[in-house]
Amino acid sequence: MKYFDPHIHMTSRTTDDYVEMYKSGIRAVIEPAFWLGQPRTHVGTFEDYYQTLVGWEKFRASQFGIHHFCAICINSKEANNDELAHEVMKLLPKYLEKDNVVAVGEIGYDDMTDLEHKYFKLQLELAKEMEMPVIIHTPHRDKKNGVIASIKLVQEVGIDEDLVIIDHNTEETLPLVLETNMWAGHTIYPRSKMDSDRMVELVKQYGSDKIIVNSSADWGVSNPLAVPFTAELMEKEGISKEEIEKIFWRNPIELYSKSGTFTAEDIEEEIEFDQSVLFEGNSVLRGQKPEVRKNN
Amino acid sequence: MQNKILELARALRRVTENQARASSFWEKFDQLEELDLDEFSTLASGALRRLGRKEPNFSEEEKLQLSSLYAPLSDKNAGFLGRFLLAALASNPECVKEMIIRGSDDEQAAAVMALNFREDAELYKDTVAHVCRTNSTIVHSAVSQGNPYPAKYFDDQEFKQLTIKTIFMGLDFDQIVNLEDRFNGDLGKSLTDFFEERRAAGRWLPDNVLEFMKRKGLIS
Repeated sequence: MKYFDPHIHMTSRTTDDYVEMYKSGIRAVIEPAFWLGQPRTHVGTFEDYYQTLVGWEKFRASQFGIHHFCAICINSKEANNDELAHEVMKLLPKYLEKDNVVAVGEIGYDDMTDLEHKYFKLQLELAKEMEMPVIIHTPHRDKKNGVIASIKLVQEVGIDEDLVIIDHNTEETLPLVLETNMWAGHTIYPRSKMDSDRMVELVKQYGSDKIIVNSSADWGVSNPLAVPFTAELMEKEGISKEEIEKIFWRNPIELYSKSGTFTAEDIEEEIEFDQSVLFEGNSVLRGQKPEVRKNN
Repeated sequence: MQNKILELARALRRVTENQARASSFWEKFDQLEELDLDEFSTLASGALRRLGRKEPNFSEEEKLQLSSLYAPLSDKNAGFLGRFLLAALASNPECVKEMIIRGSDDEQAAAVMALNFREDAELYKDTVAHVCRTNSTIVHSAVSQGNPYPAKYFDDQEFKQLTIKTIFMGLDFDQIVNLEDRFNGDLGKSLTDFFEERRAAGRWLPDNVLEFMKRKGLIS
Protein backbone atom coordinates (compact mmCIF):
# COMPACT_ATOMS: atom_id res chain seq x y z
CA MET A 1 0.00 0.00 0.00
CA LYS A 2 1.10 3.58 -0.70
CA TYR A 3 1.17 6.11 2.12
CA PHE A 4 1.16 9.89 2.41
CA ASP A 5 2.70 11.40 5.56
CA PRO A 6 1.14 14.88 5.52
CA HIS A 7 3.12 16.30 8.42
CA ILE A 8 6.81 15.50 8.79
CA HIS A 9 9.88 17.73 9.19
CA MET A 10 12.29 16.09 6.78
CA THR A 11 15.02 18.75 7.02
CA SER A 12 15.61 17.29 10.48
CA ARG A 13 15.85 13.73 9.21
CA THR A 14 18.53 11.65 7.52
CA THR A 15 18.84 9.91 4.17
CA ASP A 16 18.45 6.58 6.02
CA ASP A 17 14.97 7.78 6.99
CA TYR A 18 14.13 8.51 3.36
CA VAL A 19 15.32 5.03 2.35
CA GLU A 20 13.24 3.32 5.04
CA MET A 21 10.22 5.51 4.34
CA TYR A 22 10.32 4.58 0.66
CA LYS A 23 10.69 0.89 1.50
CA SER A 24 7.68 1.17 3.84
CA GLY A 25 5.50 2.58 1.08
CA ILE A 26 5.64 6.33 1.77
CA ARG A 27 5.45 8.13 -1.56
CA ALA A 28 4.52 11.67 -0.54
CA VAL A 29 5.16 13.99 2.38
CA ILE A 30 4.24 17.48 3.49
CA GLU A 31 6.74 19.45 5.54
CA PRO A 32 5.12 22.33 7.43
CA ALA A 33 7.38 25.23 8.38
CA PHE A 34 8.05 25.13 12.10
CA TRP A 35 10.53 26.26 14.68
CA LEU A 36 14.01 24.83 14.92
CA GLY A 37 14.10 24.03 18.62
CA GLN A 38 15.26 27.51 19.51
CA PRO A 39 13.99 30.92 18.43
CA ARG A 40 15.46 32.52 15.31
CA THR A 41 16.70 36.08 15.58
CA HIS A 42 16.78 37.34 11.97
CA VAL A 43 14.23 37.45 9.18
CA GLY A 44 16.93 36.20 6.80
CA THR A 45 17.16 32.87 8.58
CA PHE A 46 13.44 32.39 7.98
CA GLU A 47 13.89 33.13 4.31
CA ASP A 48 16.77 30.68 3.94
CA TYR A 49 14.70 28.06 5.78
CA TYR A 50 11.79 28.59 3.37
CA GLN A 51 14.20 28.29 0.47
CA THR A 52 15.36 24.96 1.82
CA LEU A 53 11.74 23.76 2.00
CA VAL A 54 10.94 24.79 -1.57
CA GLY A 55 14.35 23.89 -2.97
CA TRP A 56 16.93 21.52 -1.60
CA GLU A 57 14.62 19.35 0.51
CA LYS A 58 12.22 18.86 -2.42
CA PHE A 59 15.16 17.82 -4.57
CA ARG A 60 16.62 15.57 -1.84
CA ALA A 61 13.29 13.75 -1.36
CA SER A 62 12.95 13.22 -5.10
CA GLN A 63 16.28 11.38 -5.09
CA PHE A 64 14.61 8.77 -2.88
CA GLY A 65 11.39 8.53 -4.90
CA ILE A 66 9.26 10.66 -2.59
CA HIS A 67 7.07 13.64 -3.59
CA HIS A 68 7.90 16.50 -1.22
CA PHE A 69 5.45 19.32 -0.57
CA CYS A 70 5.58 21.94 2.15
CA ALA A 71 3.59 24.53 4.05
CA ILE A 72 4.89 28.02 4.80
CA CYS A 73 4.17 30.29 7.78
CA ILE A 74 5.41 32.05 10.86
CA ASN A 75 4.86 29.46 13.60
CA SER A 76 3.10 30.18 16.86
CA LYS A 77 6.16 30.15 19.13
CA GLU A 78 8.08 32.66 17.04
CA ALA A 79 4.97 34.79 16.49
CA ASN A 80 5.69 36.00 20.02
CA ASN A 81 8.56 38.12 18.63
CA ASP A 82 6.37 40.86 17.17
CA GLU A 83 9.09 42.77 15.34
CA LEU A 84 10.46 39.64 13.69
CA ALA A 85 7.04 38.16 12.93
CA HIS A 86 6.02 41.40 11.23
CA GLU A 87 9.00 41.12 8.88
CA VAL A 88 8.40 37.41 8.23
CA MET A 89 4.79 38.12 7.25
CA LYS A 90 6.08 40.20 4.33
CA LEU A 91 7.84 37.12 2.92
CA LEU A 92 4.80 34.85 3.00
CA PRO A 93 2.87 35.87 -0.16
CA LYS A 94 5.92 35.17 -2.32
CA TYR A 95 6.78 31.83 -0.72
CA LEU A 96 3.16 30.63 -0.67
CA GLU A 97 3.24 30.87 -4.47
CA LYS A 98 6.22 28.47 -4.84
CA ASP A 99 5.82 25.26 -6.78
CA ASN A 100 5.62 22.68 -3.96
CA VAL A 101 3.71 24.75 -1.39
CA VAL A 102 0.32 23.27 -0.49
CA ALA A 103 -0.74 25.17 2.61
CA VAL A 104 -0.24 27.90 5.16
CA GLY A 105 1.14 26.17 8.22
CA GLU A 106 1.65 25.07 10.80
CA ILE A 107 0.07 28.06 12.51
CA GLY A 108 -2.06 28.29 15.63
CA TYR A 109 -1.67 28.69 19.37
CA ASP A 110 1.16 27.57 21.62
CA ASP A 111 0.92 29.57 24.87
CA MET A 112 -2.26 31.28 23.58
CA THR A 113 -0.83 34.79 23.87
CA ASP A 114 -2.18 37.94 22.22
CA LEU A 115 0.66 37.93 19.68
CA GLU A 116 0.01 34.31 18.77
CA HIS A 117 -3.63 35.25 18.21
CA LYS A 118 -2.64 38.24 16.07
CA TYR A 119 -0.43 36.27 13.68
CA PHE A 120 -2.73 33.24 13.65
CA LYS A 121 -5.55 35.49 12.48
CA LEU A 122 -3.44 37.38 9.94
CA GLN A 123 -2.30 34.10 8.38
CA LEU A 124 -5.82 32.67 8.29
CA GLU A 125 -6.85 35.81 6.41
CA LEU A 126 -3.94 35.37 4.02
CA ALA A 127 -4.92 31.73 3.40
CA LYS A 128 -8.50 32.79 2.77
CA GLU A 129 -7.36 35.41 0.27
CA MET A 130 -5.09 32.91 -1.51
CA GLU A 131 -7.62 30.06 -1.27
CA MET A 132 -5.06 27.76 0.28
CA PRO A 133 -5.41 24.97 2.85
CA VAL A 134 -4.28 25.71 6.41
CA ILE A 135 -2.53 23.41 8.90
CA ILE A 136 -3.39 24.36 12.47
CA HIS A 137 -1.08 23.23 15.23
CA THR A 138 -2.81 22.78 18.58
CA PRO A 139 -1.06 23.41 21.89
CA HIS A 140 0.53 20.68 23.97
CA ARG A 141 -0.72 22.37 27.14
CA ASP A 142 -4.39 23.21 27.58
CA LYS A 143 -5.09 21.48 24.27
CA LYS A 144 -8.88 21.32 24.53
CA ASN A 145 -9.23 25.07 25.03
CA GLY A 146 -6.65 25.62 22.26
CA VAL A 147 -8.77 23.58 19.84
CA ILE A 148 -11.95 25.41 20.87
CA ALA A 149 -10.26 28.79 20.38
CA SER A 150 -8.81 27.69 17.02
CA ILE A 151 -12.18 26.57 15.70
CA LYS A 152 -13.73 29.82 16.87
CA LEU A 153 -11.08 31.90 15.10
CA VAL A 154 -11.39 29.91 11.85
CA GLN A 155 -15.13 30.54 11.88
CA GLU A 156 -14.66 34.22 12.72
CA VAL A 157 -12.27 34.72 9.77
CA GLY A 158 -14.68 32.86 7.52
CA ILE A 159 -12.26 30.70 5.56
CA ASP A 160 -13.84 27.61 3.97
CA GLU A 161 -13.72 24.98 6.74
CA ASP A 162 -13.02 22.29 4.16
CA LEU A 163 -9.60 23.94 3.61
CA VAL A 164 -8.62 23.67 7.28
CA ILE A 165 -7.00 20.84 9.22
CA ILE A 166 -6.85 20.97 13.01
CA ASP A 167 -3.84 18.86 13.91
CA HIS A 168 -2.49 16.85 16.86
CA ASN A 169 -5.95 15.76 18.06
CA THR A 170 -6.66 13.53 21.02
CA GLU A 171 -9.71 11.63 22.28
CA GLU A 172 -10.89 14.85 23.93
CA THR A 173 -10.60 17.12 20.90
CA LEU A 174 -11.52 14.92 17.92
CA PRO A 175 -15.31 15.12 18.55
CA LEU A 176 -15.05 18.92 18.64
CA VAL A 177 -13.39 19.01 15.21
CA LEU A 178 -15.78 16.50 13.70
CA GLU A 179 -18.69 18.76 14.62
CA THR A 180 -17.31 21.20 12.03
CA ASN A 181 -16.45 20.66 8.36
CA MET A 182 -12.72 20.82 9.12
CA TRP A 183 -10.26 17.95 8.80
CA ALA A 184 -8.88 16.21 11.87
CA GLY A 185 -5.17 15.44 12.02
CA HIS A 186 -3.55 13.01 14.44
CA THR A 187 0.13 12.78 15.27
CA ILE A 188 1.54 9.42 16.25
CA TYR A 189 4.33 10.06 18.72
CA PRO A 190 6.28 7.57 20.81
CA ARG A 191 5.31 9.08 24.15
CA SER A 192 2.93 12.01 23.69
CA LYS A 193 0.09 13.35 21.50
CA MET A 194 -1.41 10.10 20.10
CA ASP A 195 -0.20 6.52 19.77
CA SER A 196 -1.04 3.84 17.22
CA ASP A 197 -3.25 1.73 19.51
CA ARG A 198 -5.36 4.72 20.52
CA MET A 199 -5.58 5.80 16.87
CA VAL A 200 -7.02 2.40 15.93
CA GLU A 201 -9.68 2.82 18.58
CA LEU A 202 -10.55 6.32 17.33
CA VAL A 203 -11.04 5.04 13.78
CA LYS A 204 -13.20 2.19 15.07
CA GLN A 205 -15.32 4.73 16.89
CA TYR A 206 -15.45 7.62 14.41
CA GLY A 207 -14.70 6.05 10.99
CA SER A 208 -12.45 7.52 8.32
CA ASP A 209 -14.27 10.63 7.09
CA LYS A 210 -12.05 13.72 7.47
CA ILE A 211 -9.48 11.69 9.44
CA ILE A 212 -5.79 12.18 8.69
CA VAL A 213 -2.77 10.62 10.43
CA ASN A 214 0.82 11.83 10.41
CA SER A 215 4.14 11.31 12.16
CA SER A 216 5.25 14.94 12.71
CA ALA A 217 8.72 13.39 12.92
CA ASP A 218 11.31 16.07 13.55
CA TRP A 219 14.57 16.64 15.45
CA GLY A 220 13.10 15.20 18.65
CA VAL A 221 12.21 11.66 19.66
CA SER A 222 9.81 10.70 16.89
CA ASN A 223 9.23 7.99 14.30
CA PRO A 224 9.25 8.73 10.56
CA LEU A 225 7.62 5.33 9.97
CA ALA A 226 4.68 6.01 12.30
CA VAL A 227 2.25 6.31 9.38
CA PRO A 228 2.88 2.86 7.80
CA PHE A 229 3.18 1.31 11.27
CA THR A 230 -0.23 2.63 12.30
CA ALA A 231 -1.82 1.61 8.99
CA GLU A 232 -0.52 -1.93 9.41
CA LEU A 233 -1.84 -2.05 12.95
CA MET A 234 -5.26 -0.96 11.71
CA GLU A 235 -5.24 -3.78 9.18
CA LYS A 236 -4.38 -6.30 11.91
CA GLU A 237 -7.20 -4.89 14.02
CA GLY A 238 -9.72 -5.50 11.26
CA ILE A 239 -10.20 -2.06 9.78
CA SER A 240 -10.95 -2.42 6.06
CA LYS A 241 -8.28 -1.77 3.44
CA GLU A 242 -10.59 0.75 1.83
CA GLU A 243 -10.79 2.81 5.03
CA ILE A 244 -7.06 2.54 5.59
CA GLU A 245 -6.35 3.73 2.05
CA LYS A 246 -8.74 6.60 2.59
CA ILE A 247 -7.05 7.76 5.80
CA PHE A 248 -3.46 7.28 4.69
CA TRP A 249 -3.62 8.22 1.00
CA ARG A 250 -6.89 9.62 -0.37
CA ASN A 251 -7.81 12.01 2.46
CA PRO A 252 -4.54 13.98 2.40
CA ILE A 253 -4.69 14.10 -1.39
CA GLU A 254 -8.26 15.39 -1.29
CA LEU A 255 -7.38 18.14 1.18
CA TYR A 256 -4.05 19.33 -0.16
CA SER A 257 -4.84 19.09 -3.87
CA LYS A 258 -7.25 21.96 -3.16
CA SER A 259 -4.11 24.14 -3.19
CA GLY A 260 -3.79 23.64 -6.96
CA THR A 261 -0.20 22.49 -6.42
CA PHE A 262 -0.82 18.90 -7.52
CA THR A 263 -3.59 16.63 -8.71
CA ALA A 264 -4.45 13.11 -7.60
CA GLU A 265 -3.17 11.97 -10.99
CA ASP A 266 0.21 13.72 -10.49
CA ILE A 267 0.80 12.05 -7.20
CA GLU A 268 -0.22 8.59 -8.33
CA GLU A 269 2.72 8.68 -10.70
CA GLU A 270 5.88 7.26 -9.17
CA ILE A 271 8.91 9.54 -9.29
CA GLU A 272 11.58 8.30 -11.63
CA PHE A 273 14.81 8.61 -9.74
CA ASP A 274 18.34 7.80 -10.61
CA GLN A 275 20.76 8.29 -7.78
CA SER A 276 23.60 7.25 -10.07
CA VAL A 277 23.56 10.73 -11.60
CA LEU A 278 24.61 11.98 -8.21
CA PHE A 279 26.69 9.03 -7.20
CA GLU A 280 30.02 10.68 -7.69
CA GLY A 281 28.85 14.07 -6.52
CA ASN A 282 28.85 15.40 -3.00
CA SER A 283 25.10 15.45 -2.98
CA VAL A 284 22.98 12.81 -1.29
CA LEU A 285 25.14 9.70 -1.53
CA ARG A 286 28.56 9.07 -0.10
CA GLY A 287 29.79 6.11 -2.10
CA GLN A 288 26.83 3.75 -1.66
CA LYS A 289 25.39 1.75 -4.51
CA PRO A 290 22.92 4.07 -6.25
CA GLU A 291 19.31 3.07 -6.80
CA VAL A 292 17.61 3.52 -10.15
CA ARG A 293 13.85 3.34 -10.67
CA LYS A 294 12.17 4.11 -13.97
CA ASN A 295 8.49 4.07 -14.83
CA ASN A 296 7.55 1.66 -17.63
CA MET B 1 16.34 38.63 -30.67
CA GLN B 2 13.95 40.72 -28.61
CA ASN B 3 11.29 40.14 -31.28
CA LYS B 4 11.64 36.38 -30.93
CA ILE B 5 11.21 36.63 -27.17
CA LEU B 6 8.07 38.71 -27.67
CA GLU B 7 6.79 36.15 -30.20
CA LEU B 8 7.26 33.45 -27.57
CA ALA B 9 5.32 35.58 -25.09
CA ARG B 10 2.45 35.97 -27.56
CA ALA B 11 2.36 32.24 -28.30
CA LEU B 12 2.46 31.31 -24.61
CA ARG B 13 -0.31 33.78 -23.81
CA ARG B 14 -2.46 32.35 -26.61
CA VAL B 15 -2.15 28.74 -25.41
CA THR B 16 -2.62 29.52 -21.70
CA GLU B 17 -5.18 32.32 -21.71
CA ASN B 18 -8.15 29.99 -21.12
CA GLN B 19 -6.69 28.67 -17.87
CA ALA B 20 -8.44 30.01 -14.79
CA ARG B 21 -5.40 31.40 -13.05
CA ALA B 22 -3.42 32.52 -16.12
CA SER B 23 -5.14 35.87 -16.49
CA SER B 24 -3.63 37.16 -13.23
CA PHE B 25 -0.16 36.28 -14.57
CA TRP B 26 -0.66 38.06 -17.88
CA GLU B 27 -2.21 41.13 -16.24
CA LYS B 28 0.95 41.57 -14.15
CA PHE B 29 3.15 40.63 -17.11
CA ASP B 30 1.70 43.56 -19.04
CA GLN B 31 2.80 45.85 -16.19
CA LEU B 32 6.28 44.37 -15.95
CA GLU B 33 7.97 47.78 -16.08
CA GLU B 34 6.04 49.01 -13.07
CA LEU B 35 6.51 46.00 -10.79
CA ASP B 36 8.70 46.44 -7.73
CA LEU B 37 11.10 43.74 -6.56
CA ASP B 38 8.55 41.99 -4.31
CA GLU B 39 5.83 42.05 -6.95
CA PHE B 40 8.20 40.68 -9.58
CA SER B 41 9.43 37.90 -7.26
CA THR B 42 5.89 36.91 -6.34
CA LEU B 43 4.91 36.79 -10.01
CA ALA B 44 7.92 34.60 -10.84
CA SER B 45 7.19 32.34 -7.84
CA GLY B 46 3.60 31.78 -8.94
CA ALA B 47 4.22 31.30 -12.67
CA LEU B 48 3.89 27.51 -12.52
CA ARG B 49 0.72 27.70 -10.45
CA ARG B 50 -0.83 30.15 -12.91
CA LEU B 51 0.41 28.95 -16.29
CA GLY B 52 0.52 25.22 -15.55
CA ARG B 53 2.86 22.28 -15.26
CA LYS B 54 2.17 20.91 -18.73
CA GLU B 55 4.09 21.57 -21.91
CA PRO B 56 2.21 24.26 -23.85
CA ASN B 57 0.13 23.15 -26.78
CA PHE B 58 2.20 25.00 -29.39
CA SER B 59 1.81 24.47 -33.12
CA GLU B 60 4.57 22.53 -34.88
CA GLU B 61 5.94 25.78 -36.25
CA GLU B 62 5.99 27.36 -32.80
CA LYS B 63 7.77 24.33 -31.42
CA LEU B 64 10.45 24.68 -34.09
CA GLN B 65 10.79 28.38 -33.31
CA LEU B 66 11.17 27.64 -29.61
CA SER B 67 13.81 25.02 -30.28
CA SER B 68 15.75 27.34 -32.57
CA LEU B 69 15.49 30.16 -30.04
CA TYR B 70 17.07 28.05 -27.30
CA ALA B 71 17.11 24.26 -27.55
CA PRO B 72 17.00 23.48 -23.79
CA LEU B 73 13.57 25.18 -23.66
CA SER B 74 12.01 22.58 -25.98
CA ASP B 75 10.68 20.29 -23.26
CA LYS B 76 9.85 22.92 -20.66
CA ASN B 77 6.40 23.46 -19.19
CA ALA B 78 4.33 26.62 -19.47
CA GLY B 79 5.27 27.86 -15.99
CA PHE B 80 8.96 27.52 -16.77
CA LEU B 81 8.56 29.45 -20.01
CA GLY B 82 6.69 32.18 -18.14
CA ARG B 83 9.62 32.52 -15.76
CA PHE B 84 12.05 32.53 -18.67
CA LEU B 85 10.14 35.41 -20.25
CA LEU B 86 10.09 37.38 -17.00
CA ALA B 87 13.86 37.05 -16.59
CA ALA B 88 14.51 37.86 -20.24
CA LEU B 89 12.31 40.96 -20.31
CA ALA B 90 12.62 42.53 -16.83
CA SER B 91 14.19 45.95 -17.10
CA ASN B 92 15.35 46.04 -13.49
CA PRO B 93 18.53 43.93 -13.11
CA GLU B 94 17.84 43.56 -9.38
CA CYS B 95 14.71 41.56 -10.21
CA VAL B 96 16.76 39.15 -12.31
CA LYS B 97 19.47 38.86 -9.66
CA GLU B 98 16.84 38.14 -7.01
CA MET B 99 15.39 35.37 -9.17
CA ILE B 100 18.83 33.80 -9.60
CA ILE B 101 19.79 34.12 -5.94
CA ARG B 102 16.53 33.38 -4.13
CA GLY B 103 14.36 31.65 -6.69
CA SER B 104 13.33 28.00 -6.47
CA ASP B 105 15.38 25.55 -8.53
CA ASP B 106 13.16 26.07 -11.58
CA GLU B 107 13.18 29.85 -11.21
CA GLN B 108 16.96 29.85 -11.03
CA ALA B 109 17.17 27.52 -14.03
CA ALA B 110 14.83 29.69 -16.12
CA ALA B 111 16.74 32.84 -15.21
CA VAL B 112 20.20 31.51 -16.07
CA MET B 113 18.89 30.42 -19.46
CA ALA B 114 17.24 33.80 -20.05
CA LEU B 115 20.46 35.71 -19.42
CA ASN B 116 21.60 34.78 -22.92
CA PHE B 117 18.89 37.08 -24.26
CA ARG B 118 19.72 40.09 -22.12
CA GLU B 119 21.96 42.93 -23.23
CA ASP B 120 23.29 43.30 -19.68
CA ALA B 121 24.13 39.56 -19.43
CA GLU B 122 27.68 40.11 -18.17
CA LEU B 123 26.34 41.92 -15.11
CA TYR B 124 25.21 38.60 -13.60
CA LYS B 125 28.48 36.71 -14.01
CA ASP B 126 29.39 36.52 -10.31
CA THR B 127 25.83 35.62 -9.36
CA VAL B 128 25.73 32.73 -11.82
CA ALA B 129 29.17 31.51 -10.72
CA HIS B 130 27.88 31.50 -7.14
CA VAL B 131 24.73 29.59 -8.09
CA CYS B 132 26.95 26.87 -9.58
CA ARG B 133 27.89 25.94 -6.01
CA THR B 134 24.49 24.26 -5.67
CA ASN B 135 24.18 20.50 -5.42
CA SER B 136 20.86 20.57 -7.24
CA THR B 137 21.24 18.99 -10.67
CA ILE B 138 18.23 21.02 -11.85
CA VAL B 139 20.12 24.29 -11.46
CA HIS B 140 23.55 23.03 -12.39
CA SER B 141 22.15 21.47 -15.57
CA ALA B 142 20.64 24.79 -16.57
CA VAL B 143 24.05 26.44 -16.38
CA SER B 144 26.25 23.65 -17.69
CA GLN B 145 24.14 21.80 -20.26
CA GLY B 146 23.84 23.55 -23.61
CA ASN B 147 24.09 27.02 -22.08
CA PRO B 148 26.62 29.34 -23.79
CA TYR B 149 26.72 31.74 -20.83
CA PRO B 150 29.64 30.20 -18.88
CA ALA B 151 31.90 29.95 -21.94
CA LYS B 152 31.16 33.55 -22.81
CA TYR B 153 31.48 35.18 -19.39
CA PHE B 154 33.14 32.92 -16.79
CA ASP B 155 36.83 33.47 -16.06
CA ASP B 156 39.20 30.49 -16.36
CA GLN B 157 38.89 29.50 -12.71
CA GLU B 158 35.07 29.63 -12.77
CA PHE B 159 34.92 27.72 -16.05
CA LYS B 160 37.27 25.05 -14.68
CA GLN B 161 35.09 24.61 -11.58
CA LEU B 162 31.98 24.35 -13.74
CA THR B 163 33.62 21.67 -15.89
CA ILE B 164 34.90 19.55 -13.02
CA LYS B 165 31.64 19.83 -11.10
CA THR B 166 29.67 18.82 -14.19
CA ILE B 167 31.61 15.54 -14.24
CA PHE B 168 31.39 15.27 -10.46
CA MET B 169 27.59 15.54 -10.56
CA GLY B 170 27.26 12.96 -13.32
CA LEU B 171 26.00 15.47 -15.88
CA ASP B 172 26.92 15.27 -19.56
CA PHE B 173 30.42 16.59 -20.17
CA ASP B 174 29.70 16.88 -23.91
CA GLN B 175 26.92 19.39 -23.22
CA ILE B 176 29.34 22.03 -21.89
CA VAL B 177 29.31 24.70 -24.59
CA ASN B 178 32.65 25.72 -26.16
CA LEU B 179 34.72 23.45 -23.97
CA GLU B 180 37.25 23.08 -26.80
CA ASP B 181 37.79 26.84 -27.00
CA ARG B 182 38.03 27.29 -23.25
CA PHE B 183 40.38 24.35 -22.66
CA ASN B 184 43.77 25.36 -21.24
CA GLY B 185 46.64 23.83 -19.30
CA ASP B 186 45.12 24.54 -15.91
CA LEU B 187 41.86 22.80 -16.83
CA GLY B 188 43.90 19.92 -18.26
CA LYS B 189 45.81 19.60 -14.97
CA SER B 190 42.58 19.53 -12.96
CA LEU B 191 41.14 16.84 -15.23
CA THR B 192 44.32 14.81 -14.84
CA ASP B 193 44.29 15.21 -11.05
CA PHE B 194 40.65 14.17 -10.99
CA PHE B 195 41.41 11.15 -13.16
CA GLU B 196 44.32 10.11 -10.88
CA GLU B 197 42.20 10.51 -7.75
CA ARG B 198 39.49 8.32 -9.22
CA ARG B 199 41.98 5.74 -10.45
CA ALA B 200 43.58 5.51 -6.99
CA ALA B 201 40.11 4.83 -5.58
CA GLY B 202 39.39 2.18 -8.23
CA ARG B 203 36.84 4.38 -9.98
CA TRP B 204 36.64 5.80 -13.49
CA LEU B 205 35.56 8.87 -15.34
CA PRO B 206 32.82 8.68 -18.00
CA ASP B 207 33.93 7.49 -21.43
CA ASN B 208 33.39 10.84 -23.12
CA VAL B 209 35.66 12.53 -20.57
CA LEU B 210 38.36 9.92 -21.14
CA GLU B 211 38.05 10.41 -24.91
CA PHE B 212 38.44 14.16 -24.47
CA MET B 213 41.49 13.67 -22.27
CA LYS B 214 43.05 11.35 -24.83
CA ARG B 215 42.53 13.89 -27.59
CA LYS B 216 44.20 16.53 -25.47
CA GLY B 217 47.13 14.22 -24.74
CA LEU B 218 46.38 14.12 -21.01
CA ILE B 219 46.21 10.32 -20.90
CA SER B 220 47.25 7.67 -23.36
